[in-house]
Amino acid sequence: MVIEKPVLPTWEWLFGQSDASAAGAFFEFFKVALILFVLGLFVGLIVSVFRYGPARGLQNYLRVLRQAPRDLLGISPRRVLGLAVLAMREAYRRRVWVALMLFFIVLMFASWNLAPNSDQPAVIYLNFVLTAATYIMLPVAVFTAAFSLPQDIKNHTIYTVVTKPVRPSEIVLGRILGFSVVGSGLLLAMGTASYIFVVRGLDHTHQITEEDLLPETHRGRIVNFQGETSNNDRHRHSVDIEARNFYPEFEISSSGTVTRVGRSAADAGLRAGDRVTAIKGEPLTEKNRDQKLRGLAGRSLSDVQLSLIRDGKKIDLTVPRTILETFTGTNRGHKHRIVTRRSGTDKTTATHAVGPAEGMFLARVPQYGSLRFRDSKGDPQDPRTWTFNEQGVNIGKIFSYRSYIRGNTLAAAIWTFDGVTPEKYPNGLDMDVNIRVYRSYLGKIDAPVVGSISVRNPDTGKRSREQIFSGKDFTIERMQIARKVWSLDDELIDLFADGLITPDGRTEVWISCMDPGQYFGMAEADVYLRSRDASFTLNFIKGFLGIELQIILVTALAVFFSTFLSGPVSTLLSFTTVLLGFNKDFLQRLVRSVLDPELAQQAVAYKRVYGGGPIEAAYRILLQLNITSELETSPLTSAIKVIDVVIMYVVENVLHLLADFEQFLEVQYLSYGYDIPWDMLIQHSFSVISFMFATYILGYFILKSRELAR
Amino acid sequence: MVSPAANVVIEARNLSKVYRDFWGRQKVRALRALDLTVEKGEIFGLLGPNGSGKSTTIKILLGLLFPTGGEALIFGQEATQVSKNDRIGYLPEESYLYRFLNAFETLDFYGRLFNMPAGERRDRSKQLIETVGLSAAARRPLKEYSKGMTRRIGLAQALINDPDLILLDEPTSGLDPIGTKDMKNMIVGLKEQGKTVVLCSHLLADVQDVCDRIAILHQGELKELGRVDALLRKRDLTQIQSTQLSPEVEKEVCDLIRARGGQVLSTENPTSTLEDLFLSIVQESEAKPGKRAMPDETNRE
Repeated sequence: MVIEKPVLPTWEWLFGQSDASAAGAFFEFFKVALILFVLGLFVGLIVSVFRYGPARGLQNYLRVLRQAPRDLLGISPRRVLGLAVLAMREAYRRRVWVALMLFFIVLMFASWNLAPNSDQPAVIYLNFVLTAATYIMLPVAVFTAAFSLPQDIKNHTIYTVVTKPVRPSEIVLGRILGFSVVGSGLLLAMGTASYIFVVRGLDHTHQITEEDLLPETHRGRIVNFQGETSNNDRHRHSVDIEARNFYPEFEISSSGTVTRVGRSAADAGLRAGDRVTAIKGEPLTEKNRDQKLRGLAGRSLSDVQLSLIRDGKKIDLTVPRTILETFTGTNRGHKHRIVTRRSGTDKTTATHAVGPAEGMFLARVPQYGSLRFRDSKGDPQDPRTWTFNEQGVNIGKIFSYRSYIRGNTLAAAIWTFDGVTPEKYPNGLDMDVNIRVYRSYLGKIDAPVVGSISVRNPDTGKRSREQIFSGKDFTIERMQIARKVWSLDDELIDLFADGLITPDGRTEVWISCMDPGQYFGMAEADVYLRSRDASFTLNFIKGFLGIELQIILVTALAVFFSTFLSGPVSTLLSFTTVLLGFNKDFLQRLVRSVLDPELAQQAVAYKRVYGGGPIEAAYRILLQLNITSELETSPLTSAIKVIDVVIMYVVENVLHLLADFEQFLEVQYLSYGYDIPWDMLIQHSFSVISFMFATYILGYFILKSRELAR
Repeated sequence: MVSPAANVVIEARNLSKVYRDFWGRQKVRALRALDLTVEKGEIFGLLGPNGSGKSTTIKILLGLLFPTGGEALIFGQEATQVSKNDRIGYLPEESYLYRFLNAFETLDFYGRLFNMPAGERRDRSKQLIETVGLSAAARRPLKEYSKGMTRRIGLAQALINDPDLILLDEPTSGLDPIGTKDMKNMIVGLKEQGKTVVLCSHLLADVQDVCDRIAILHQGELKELGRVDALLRKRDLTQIQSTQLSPEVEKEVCDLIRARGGQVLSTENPTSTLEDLFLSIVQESEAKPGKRAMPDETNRE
């Protein structure tokens, strides 16, 4: 999954972007509310006159309008709470907890078949629990909410409620809140069970014994040990232990003070609190600290000379190198930390401790930059418009989201990032790169297309030497530009101190394709920096909050429909609304394909939906016409098209009122290891509150103008 | 001095109701130009056969239906105003209650709807449950209640807010004679507390026993309205009841009536009602458990 559209900051989403290219949601809401208000006034009058005759209809209409402000604003929290509690009891009586049992049963048997050989088991596990929770909870929410009020009206129990000082608005609100709380309770239980299921279900470790590793020698000396871990959870990891990477067993602070001492170092006489002044006879200074610390590494059980100061006295010690920390190779989206210890008493054997899986559950926090291109001649600007190139080459794909750069030319994709500071990126720039590879000739199909990546200061133009990487299609590659990189002058320079990043934290990342005739395709969101990962547990909670918002939305809609429809019909309508809401984008494209003559004329267009409007589609079915073939021009087809345009115009306006369930991407974010931005949750909360508000107002008017004893 | 208008609790002016189908075509004219006034502190009975418009009247007064013509006012407010419900208690024909709640939960729920604080709800629920005699079954869900018990908890919910006006639809329906008597006593008790009661019933004897005034509806029209005693009194008949009257004295009295120009229609020993007999047997059985009840032999032929 790639995040194609980064989430806007909430303020911008609410009040519009600074360039005023789009009105904010706040203004859109008021626009729609105003239209609905005017439309409601008109439709209400018509319905009232139709039902009660002109004089009495007008009288009833004015009465409802007169009483509305008091009824809508003068709600009593105690009454609403009472009605909400009643709704909860009713839901319990209807045995909604069976849904929970069903979910638990599904979980119990799921692990038998779930992702035994998948490359991304965490994605599959998360997708499964989130999808199961959503698909179990949505019908439960619809059924409980849609049948409640019609059942009360049918059983006449509503008589004893509305003859109390209860406002219709309170009946609607109480039900929405009550059923939402029930949904939340069920989701909380499902979420807890899911978390345990996912985390415990994928929790595992491996073992490494001496027999698993084979030494690899070079000129008679062992350079590394290679092998595999034991087979656990139906997979193994490759292991590669460098023979020269053993360290003495102690930890040292930035000031050079020993903070923790392991057994072998303690046996050699080292203590916590000692201050290291020199390593192998060379003094340790602030400037050369990193380099000298790297000098601690060496072959196992070889010794390191340390000079220390303890209690003001200078001491020289010899400490053996006994410990090595490394990682297994990545398999199935995770790796394990290995701590290898070699004992001083038994020099022939080593113990390998393998830690739990790491990197399986991610909550990546992407920092996006802005993308521009240089063309094949290296020109940053379009010669026709004198504006910066925002697009690369189109290789003929209809989906024009990504632009392509040609290999072995001066073409480059350039991302500019802001806010890059040493505090956020102390070890260099961690980034995820997700590119598409387009091969204009097959070549060696199993050989990767090679690319290069470099860093450039946007102000001074100073840049690092290019690093080479293998471009893999449909893969998110984790890359790192280390804190120390080689400059074009073959000097090892610091990203921050030596001017590859501007003082205000801006830098450019350049990516080029190096294989002639091949192309790299990319979009703005394909490369992002990763300063830190967020907490997976918190992200998990946010993911379930996203489902919760959908449940509340569906509940509000079902309660609203039940104010004027019977239980089965409101259920059907609620499901239809959800189904349409999940396909809103398609519907919008369908409508635009009929209404927008320019789009309708295009033979090949990603956004076009073929087949015309409903009448044209029926006509095509009747005559067994292909959906892509043009209709012959005749008075009949012209009339069909005109009718379709009218229908689609109405549909387009109705679509504005449809909840966009496609926007609720929390589940995908969580499954694919992205941190769910708070902005997204806040914006979705605003959307849900808006819908609740609308259903509250509309539900009130319908219930108020309805004769409940008929 | 209280103005007459302040004494009026319910006022129906030219009230009419027509039921229409979805397309607006007239199906039934349920009520025609009903003019009615119920005053504070009286027990008012609405009588009539099925389909006479009694329930429609009650439902319009409660705001459950909207009138097609005319006006319905309760405490001087439009019947559709929610705020009027603060002072109203309503017992529907069937006790339409949530059967999954128990008696306490039911009363607590309806107490909440009157915005009553928790403490007040608790005290009032306890008191009402004792009053209607459901203390032993207060924690059982209503679905386990008999019809009589359901009527009693229905009455309790109608009284939860200590209302000024109580509308009772068939209050004795489904009750045994003891329950009926208790209900009637309770209705009279409510009147003694200064409350106004409107009831509609098919059981005319019940209405006769408790109502001060009645209205008789037929085919949606008001046919009779007035005080019960005045409507039932037969002014051209006289009934003399006496004890220790020998057949000779009885003959003398009859002769005297005839001599004075009167006409003796019948002389007989009056019978008790079956309800009275039943109640006296139950009372005796409760006083002397295990013994067969022996009603007063002197009254038997």
